[in-house]
Amino acid sequence: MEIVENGIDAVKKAKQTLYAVIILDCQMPEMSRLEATLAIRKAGINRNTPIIGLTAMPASLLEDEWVVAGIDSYVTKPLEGREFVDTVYRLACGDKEND
Amino acid sequence: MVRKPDFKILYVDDEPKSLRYFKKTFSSDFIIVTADSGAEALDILSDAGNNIGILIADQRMPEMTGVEVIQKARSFAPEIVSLLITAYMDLDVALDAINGGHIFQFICKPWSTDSLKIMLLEAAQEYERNRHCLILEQKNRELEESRRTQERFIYTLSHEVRTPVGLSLNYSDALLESTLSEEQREYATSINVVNQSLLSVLDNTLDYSMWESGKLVLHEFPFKLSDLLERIEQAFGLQFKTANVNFVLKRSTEGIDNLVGDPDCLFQVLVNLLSNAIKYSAAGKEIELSIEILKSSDRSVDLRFAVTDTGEGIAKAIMDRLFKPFSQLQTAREGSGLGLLISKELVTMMGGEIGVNSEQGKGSEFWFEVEFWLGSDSSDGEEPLNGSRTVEGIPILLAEDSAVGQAMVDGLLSPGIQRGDR
Repeated sequence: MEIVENGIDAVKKAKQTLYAVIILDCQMPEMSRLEATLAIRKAGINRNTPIIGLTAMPASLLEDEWVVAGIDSYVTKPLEGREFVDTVYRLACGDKEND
Repeated sequence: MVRKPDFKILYVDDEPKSLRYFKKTFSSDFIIVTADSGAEALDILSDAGNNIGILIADQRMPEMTGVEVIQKARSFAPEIVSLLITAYMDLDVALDAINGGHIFQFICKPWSTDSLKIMLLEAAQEYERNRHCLILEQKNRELEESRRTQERFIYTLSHEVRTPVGLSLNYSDALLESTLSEEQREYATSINVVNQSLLSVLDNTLDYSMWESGKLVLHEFPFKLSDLLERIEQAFGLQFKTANVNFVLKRSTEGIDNLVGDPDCLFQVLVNLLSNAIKYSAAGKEIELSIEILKSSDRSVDLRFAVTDTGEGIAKAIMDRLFKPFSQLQTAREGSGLGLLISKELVTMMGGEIGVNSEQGKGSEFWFEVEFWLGSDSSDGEEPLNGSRTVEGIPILLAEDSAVGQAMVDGLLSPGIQRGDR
């Protein structure tokens, strides 16, 4: 797992490397998650990579972001261990198996 | 002597004689300003400092008619009350202007001083009303704006607070999984329980502010009822223990586990009802959560959830008010009071019904019924969801600015590292 600290670095990384899953925190300096998601989607290689948003609020409140940017899933903080791992696993592997 | 109104009357007429006469007649009752053309009148009107309340315009003027002056004046000062002076032959014009809402009254030439004075007094009253309306409208806009600001503030605040509370909850979880002395365990348990209840208060507050602004929406997807119940038991385990109540789960939903609906919504309603039950149950008593099938078809199922406590029960008079905003029995029972209101909204949103049965001295049963679509078993053939899955070797990118958050995700996704070790 590679870790970056802000949206800009995430976009930079996402231009170079193909990831199975990208996890974005809700509040990041420099660039909002919505902007970062849109940029990653535009950047090319990770166009179809599942993006998981970490959020402290109910996912239903993030509808704008969800609809506009197409974030694939949200995991609500506090992270619940199994749910989180399952979500990452499902998005990283599960969806591909179904293709 | 009656005090003159603080606003002025503007009289526009191309006949200097009429202007002079009018001024002489009414200047003891009003402050009069005159103009001899439409252009001059509009010039005076356009300066709000002139404080014109009533506009009287002669219809027959060169260059600009009275109605034209009045219509233009209305465009920048709609509160001004306008009177039109006409000769009988122009009555049609005056009537059209009245019907079009442009003028308050018309005055026929030659006018009588008495009836004109009455008309001016009426116009003055009308202007006062208009002015009050404007002030009220302005105040209304300000209130509306401040309500929105407050809403945003509450929302942002709860959201900001939720993150650290959530983290604190994670860490107290981790702490409880490590080796602790009896005393330390007790303290960590208290922190955990307090955090849980703080979280549910914050969730309710967030939902309430969303609900107030009409932004609360369902998020439906497939989920497992058993997962949800496990989440409940996990969230409440310590609280039950701390409150020394015995939790009984009665689930008679054989064969039904894969549902489609909003599990977070359902979770929150259950959290609210169970929190209340704990709050109002004496130590050593029992709290029961029962789930049963009311009706089922190939595609959907009606489930009834009921949380029963053996507390003091609720008086009949109070039961009707329970689900209403801020009218709960706060005198007798503490609590944020939002829980039941939000639960009702959430259940209604899910298309269900919520209610309470209670008998004083025996306890209460809070129930709700919701219909869910049946989902298909998605894990067919796959390994069971027992946490044995790892994401080792999968390329993952994490963008997270807080070191605490990084550590948390890393800890969860890196195999072999237990949360308690961190």
